[in-house]
Amino acid sequence: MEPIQLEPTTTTPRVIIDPVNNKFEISGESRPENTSKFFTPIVNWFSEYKSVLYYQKNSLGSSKKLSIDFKLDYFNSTSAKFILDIFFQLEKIKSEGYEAEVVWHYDNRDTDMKESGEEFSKLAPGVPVRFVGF
Amino acid sequence: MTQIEAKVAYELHKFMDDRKIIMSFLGDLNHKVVTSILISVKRLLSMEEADFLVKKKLYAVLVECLDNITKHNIANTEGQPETNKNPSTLFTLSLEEDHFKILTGNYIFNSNIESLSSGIEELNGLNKEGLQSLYRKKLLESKSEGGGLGMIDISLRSGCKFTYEIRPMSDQMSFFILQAIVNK
Repeated sequence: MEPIQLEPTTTTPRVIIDPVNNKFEISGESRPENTSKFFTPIVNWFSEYKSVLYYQKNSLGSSKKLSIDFKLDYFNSTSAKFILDIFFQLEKIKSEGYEAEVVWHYDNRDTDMKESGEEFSKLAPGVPVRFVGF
Repeated sequence: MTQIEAKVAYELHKFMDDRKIIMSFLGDLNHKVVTSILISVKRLLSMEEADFLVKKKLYAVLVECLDNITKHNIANTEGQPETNKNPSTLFTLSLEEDHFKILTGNYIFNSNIESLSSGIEELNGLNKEGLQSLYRKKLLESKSEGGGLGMIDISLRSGCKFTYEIRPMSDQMSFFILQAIVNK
């Protein structure tokens, strides 16, 4: 599958979806002008990644652990729905027997950002979330 | 500049100063304009001596307030009445001793008054737990437009109740004024 690499802008986060190096990251600020247009390809990517994991597991013996780093300064309420959709995709991947986790990074002073991660985790309990304060 | 214009500028400046308004906007808002307002706010906040989390909260509340009046500007709505000659939206940010005050104003259709005010009354009547559970419910059912998440987000982050007023302008339109507070 094609990687997705998006440089951050004042309104959109940095996105790294790099299956070759097994690196997945969404970081920065998220308030895109068209949230659906920005996030839908990302959500779809994870949905389609299941077939790659299936191939790895059945042809290569084991699949790589999928770990996605969220390191957000700010996201608006419209982005929240799509972030939750990504959590749901990882939850599905996990439920089909592949290793998956979310790493939720937050500034130690930003308790709101930590709480947001906890909210997503409650709504998608099937995927483990590791909280990392910095 | 003629003397009269200078007087207007001076009086406007004094009016805003007296009310501790540190930023204001009147006109047609769009995503680009909101972005430039937010960049100015960030610069302003970096010089302001306030708690880190308070600044974060203020920023988040501002984004949602500005998004609201941008999205719900009836000038952007199809089939707006011909009588609507002044679709401007209004935004001010003031810095009081112990809180930030955000005021927005936009035109709405009279047919939306009831759902708008009952929505705000509902949020004002909820405590933190109530707001959180409504947020979860809306997040799970929300369409890509957001579907009211923004207002809940403002209530949750600010921890303050909304104050609002709706002034009838014609038999079709009213001016809707919303005030949100973020305590320092």
